[in-house]
Amino acid sequence: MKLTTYESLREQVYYDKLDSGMPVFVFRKPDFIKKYAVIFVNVGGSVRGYKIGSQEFSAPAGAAHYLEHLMFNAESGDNKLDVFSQNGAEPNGSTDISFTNYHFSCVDRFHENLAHLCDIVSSPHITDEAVEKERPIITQEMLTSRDSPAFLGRQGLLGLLNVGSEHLDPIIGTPESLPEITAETLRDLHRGFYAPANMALAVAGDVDPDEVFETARRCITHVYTQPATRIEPTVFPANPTEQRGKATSGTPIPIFMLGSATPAYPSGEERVREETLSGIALGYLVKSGEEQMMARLYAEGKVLGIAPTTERTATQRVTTILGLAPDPEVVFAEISAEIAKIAANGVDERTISRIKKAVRGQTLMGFDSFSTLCNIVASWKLVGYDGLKAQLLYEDVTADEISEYLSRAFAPEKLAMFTVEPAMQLPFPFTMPQ
Amino acid sequence: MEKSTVVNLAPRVRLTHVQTKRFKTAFAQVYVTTPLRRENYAAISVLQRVLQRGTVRLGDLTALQNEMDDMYGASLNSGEINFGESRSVFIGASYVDDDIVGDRTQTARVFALLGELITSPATDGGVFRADYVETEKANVIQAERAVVINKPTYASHEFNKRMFDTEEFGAYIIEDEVNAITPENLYAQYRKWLGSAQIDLVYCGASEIEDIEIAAKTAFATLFDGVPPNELYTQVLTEPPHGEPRVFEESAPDAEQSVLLMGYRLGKTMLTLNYAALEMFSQILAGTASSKLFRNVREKLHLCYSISAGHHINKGTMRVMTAIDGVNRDAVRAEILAQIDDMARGEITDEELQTAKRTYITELQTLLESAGGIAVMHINHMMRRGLSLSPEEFAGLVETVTREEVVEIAQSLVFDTEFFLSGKGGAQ
Repeated sequence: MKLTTYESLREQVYYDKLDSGMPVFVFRKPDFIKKYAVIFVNVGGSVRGYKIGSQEFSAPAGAAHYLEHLMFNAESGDNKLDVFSQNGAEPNGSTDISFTNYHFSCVDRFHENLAHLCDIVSSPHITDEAVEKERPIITQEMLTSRDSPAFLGRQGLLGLLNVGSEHLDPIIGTPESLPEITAETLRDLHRGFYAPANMALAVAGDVDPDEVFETARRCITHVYTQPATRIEPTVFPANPTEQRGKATSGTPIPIFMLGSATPAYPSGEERVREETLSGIALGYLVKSGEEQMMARLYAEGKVLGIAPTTERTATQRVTTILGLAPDPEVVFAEISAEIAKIAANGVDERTISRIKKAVRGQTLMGFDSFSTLCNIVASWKLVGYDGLKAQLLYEDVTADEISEYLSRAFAPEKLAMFTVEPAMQLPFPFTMPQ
Repeated sequence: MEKSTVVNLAPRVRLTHVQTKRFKTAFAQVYVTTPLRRENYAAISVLQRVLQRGTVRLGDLTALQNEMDDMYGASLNSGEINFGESRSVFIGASYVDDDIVGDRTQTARVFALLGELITSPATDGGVFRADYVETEKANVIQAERAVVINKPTYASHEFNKRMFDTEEFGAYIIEDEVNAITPENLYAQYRKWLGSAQIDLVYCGASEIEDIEIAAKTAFATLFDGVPPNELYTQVLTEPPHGEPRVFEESAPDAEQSVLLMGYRLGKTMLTLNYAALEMFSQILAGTASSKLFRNVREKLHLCYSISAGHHINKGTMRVMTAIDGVNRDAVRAEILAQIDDMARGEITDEELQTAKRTYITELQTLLESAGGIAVMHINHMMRRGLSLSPEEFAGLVETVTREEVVEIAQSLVFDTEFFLSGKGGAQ
């Protein structure tokens, strides 16, 4: 395997590709007893259409997540997680909007566990009976997420932003889409996206890179030679027709989600640069001004908590701020005023250099986590970029880029806000001293 | 394994130092521990938030955040945690270790900041700033009200209130008590609180113990006053205080799912508690994908997505919790009872016990693979179990647990309280 060193990140990674097309990364960590392995699969909640060769397929909402559940189903009827448990390993799987991943951490029997992880993605047992057996468990999982007001806020905002169903529908699916998912749907999805060229393996720990490569070569046994390609939407959503929406729930405090949808680069360097820029720009927004904006709003009792974030499908990015506030319209007005100032005057270089210093430290600290390291290289590989190199791009972000990004992402005509309000209004317990 | 050293720096100041050069991140945390009491529960909750608003030197959140950014993105974590009926307020920092960024001042700056946050808070006219106190009073009330947003969290909160309604452990925020707080009476509480608290400092990073002792003594100088700490004690009941098990129900019409909690006293086993066997009991019951409740309630009967069991070692209690379709309440309840009965009758296979041991030891070992994990594990070990064993030695003890010891735990359980938060009912 080929070794690459990233001096400023104090990291080294071994890399090679299996004959079947699956990339393999290994971080050798001789001082650690923990070992971690993850397989990323290039299918997530936003995949609704795809092609295998010239044949087109469609996938109902929730199909990628449903398949993740089924991958643990053994022919015997047992759960394949049992083998990890018996080996003392901690396994799990998850599906996000872009990818599915399967991972474990362990101390002993690493190669045995790695072989089992490879077997899980290679040898599914997808039958009508297994699909039906899993349906009530997934339904309970879906109901758990639907009880969250933050979920209501996200769904409400995405609706206002006119994003397509591939983004709007929850990753777990909907009450309407789950019954459409059949064993055949899941077998097709597996054939296309669990082809080795659509997956990436990353490992960290005190392991021999060549042995890892050999175990993967031996245990990725399926022979799908035609990896699926996603069919992405070609029409970008129009600006929101309604810029406000609301619902009520059992929350005692209004929860708001404001944000916008903008076109996004699908892959490669442009995508990763945009990803880096959006992170730095949102960091700037919350820290802008003489008194940092969000610290000031908190001190003034205008917000109780806030979480800026971005999420994306292949072709669009949604930039959001989720928060709790007694009057979300006040927060909306404050953020809009700050954006107008940035658009008129640009951004403050001192704040940017402070943020970059913080990002440098946080990036280094993040690399103490094996899962962070492995997830970065595996997921970025699937969109065609070097994940570790991506961690250094923050250094190149300029003041003009930040100003332009924030002005574009928070342009008045693009911005919408969805509020989840208390079903029963309690007096807000806040009085500022005079 | 890293070398850990515990040093009593003063009668009530203890330092746990773990030296390692394995990580890029270093971690330092201070715990201020006093008896958990209903009478000052609200005040301490507001206090721990006010302490984070600023110090004499760094007067507001903006100044604090700028300081953290300047320390290469160091991050503060803070909150409160109950070890039985001892209540710790903690503030800690994760930061890039000095050598990694070539800045030898990082560790000393972090200790100085932690010391300032605890011993030198922002004041005005000799008491806490009125605007900080008022904002944080409101935030404490809002946070308490917001618990209802997450139904499992809310159910757990309500369960706790009811099961421990006659014990200090059941303390919770009462809005009237928060409203009665003033900058003056809160500052008086602060002086009393800090004047008798046990102080635990824990550090994990590359610095030598001599350097950390100097940093600690400089940062927390005012606490080296020779005063002994309050005696810390937890009331343990081996029988339910109300006799027969009690059942509580509450309706949550906005919730899609229902939540079931079942609480137990660990019973007479608390008199000679076998800590390692208790950990294995919880693992076998609901700790892994091979556990009895996961396999039976989820995989066999398909009645839930997740199910968990947890215990409070100090308090001597255990509870099972799951989110379910309300119509299945009786079936889930019956299965939980049946599985615990099976364990009490000795129905634990060698494979179940071995799986539990391997999983628990792996979890313990993997927690020791980060600076924060090592530091918190040492504190947990001291505060939860009061044992002088290191985490590694405890793992050795787990290896020796027998089936009979786990069965004894199951046989000793006494069912105390059931809480059911009833959602809309049927699945869609």
